[in-house]
Amino acid sequence: MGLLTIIRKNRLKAQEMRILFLGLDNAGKTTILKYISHEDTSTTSPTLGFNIKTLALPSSPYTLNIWDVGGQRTLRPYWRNYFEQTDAIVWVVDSADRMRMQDCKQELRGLLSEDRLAGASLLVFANKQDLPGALNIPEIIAASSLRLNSIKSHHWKIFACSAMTGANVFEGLDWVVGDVAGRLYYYSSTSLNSSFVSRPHDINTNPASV
Amino acid sequence: MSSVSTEQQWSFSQLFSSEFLNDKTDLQNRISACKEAPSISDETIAELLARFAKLTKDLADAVGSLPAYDQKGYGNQLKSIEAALEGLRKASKPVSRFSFKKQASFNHSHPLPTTTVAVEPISQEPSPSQASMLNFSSRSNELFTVDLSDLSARDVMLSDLANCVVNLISPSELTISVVHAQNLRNVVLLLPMIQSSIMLHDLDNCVVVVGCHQFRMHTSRTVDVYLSIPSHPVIENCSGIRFAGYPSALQRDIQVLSRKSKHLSVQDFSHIKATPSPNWTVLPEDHLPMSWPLGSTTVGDFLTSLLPCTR
Repeated sequence: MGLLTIIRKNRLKAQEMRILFLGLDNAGKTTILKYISHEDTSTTSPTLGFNIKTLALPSSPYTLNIWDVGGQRTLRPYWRNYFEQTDAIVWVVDSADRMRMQDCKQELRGLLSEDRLAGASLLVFANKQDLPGALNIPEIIAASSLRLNSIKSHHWKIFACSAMTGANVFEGLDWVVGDVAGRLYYYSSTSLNSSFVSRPHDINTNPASV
Repeated sequence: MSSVSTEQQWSFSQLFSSEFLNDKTDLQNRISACKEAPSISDETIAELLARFAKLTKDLADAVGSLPAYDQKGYGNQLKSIEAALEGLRKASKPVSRFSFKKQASFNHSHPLPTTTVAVEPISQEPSPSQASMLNFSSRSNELFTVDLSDLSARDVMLSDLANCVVNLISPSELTISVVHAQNLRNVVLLLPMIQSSIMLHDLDNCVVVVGCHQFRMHTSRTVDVYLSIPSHPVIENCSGIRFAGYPSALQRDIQVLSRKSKHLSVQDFSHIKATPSPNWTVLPEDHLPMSWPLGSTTVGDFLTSLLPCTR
């Protein structure tokens, strides 16, 4: 009996990860969520409130609890209601929305300075790469838009993707799940008094009352 | 994992410990043997790294099912192995194809940022050329039409226009994927059925004709919207917006016109209440334009006959 078999037999409950999808309105958060849960992506409506999906990736033993919160400006103050216990943020960018790259950058900055998101892995999806006018990754990273290279507070990675064609969506998710898995191990095994373990368990995750 | 009973946990940790220690000692022996050896091949290093990665993963998987003290001890042992491996790796050539380095950094001090910048770009073209976009910016008193021989899909960007007409309906059969518009005053925007979404900011006294999949309008006032849409149109920080269906006079395709449209199921994000929003109304039938001056080439004709504030 190999180690892995023993472990699998002993794993009574699959481990869960809490992943938060955020980004400006029209970025494609809900469409990505629909794509990964194999729903029809052509019927997405702007999100009023939030969507939750629980799913397992075929490639990993973890159960993902994905929270997709609407990105309209009016809804952004409610984002903080979802921060608690978040393992990873998926920041979705509309790569064709040149006009709002500054806006996008500022919202992301604000998010990364949040104490309650400290340590969460950050996956940036440069979505809508199927559009003819989409910016590519170097263009998005370039100083004029999102200065991603200056992010030191979080593990991050950017993936060019398209929720309409599905290109690179699962690749991005695989990265973020792997990153969270590695980190959770690190914190729980070596530094029991790190902020991660001792952070408040105040379950303030109720949906925004909108 | 509190759901595991103490007894189960005990027997599991016994089993795990013996297997883990076996593997660990084995790996340590291999490493010291390599240190003695005059030269180390890439394959050997890769193999050792793989075995170390497996051990790390085994421990990660067992987290929660082991006594905290053991868990911490094993973690520390892995760290010393990792340091030894690192030394070994520096002694030989760095192994680039193995994505171990990132993993290793987790076990040091504070999390380091991943500095690698992604992964396969998915489009064949290296960069989207400006040719794939239609861009109208900082103009006034002009009429824009397009007459393009190349009808491949384009994104449309409009910004800082005043007293202008943008007619992308006729005569060309242009395919438009998305539209972004910002800061338009006294502008008539005539668009065909576009493939994806339209995003409008800061419109004042404008007319928007469009068929789209998603519609969002922000911080605008006094706009008449003629819309064909399968999802709920969204307005936010807007006032004086009137909605009507896509004009049949501008659409030759009967199928498109007969499609069910939700242009009157507007969601006002500035008024999330059960009461009707004060910020938008239905454009009354008797206020619909009698005709659309498509043949006209004077901006004034369009503006006076269509704009909300002049009619």
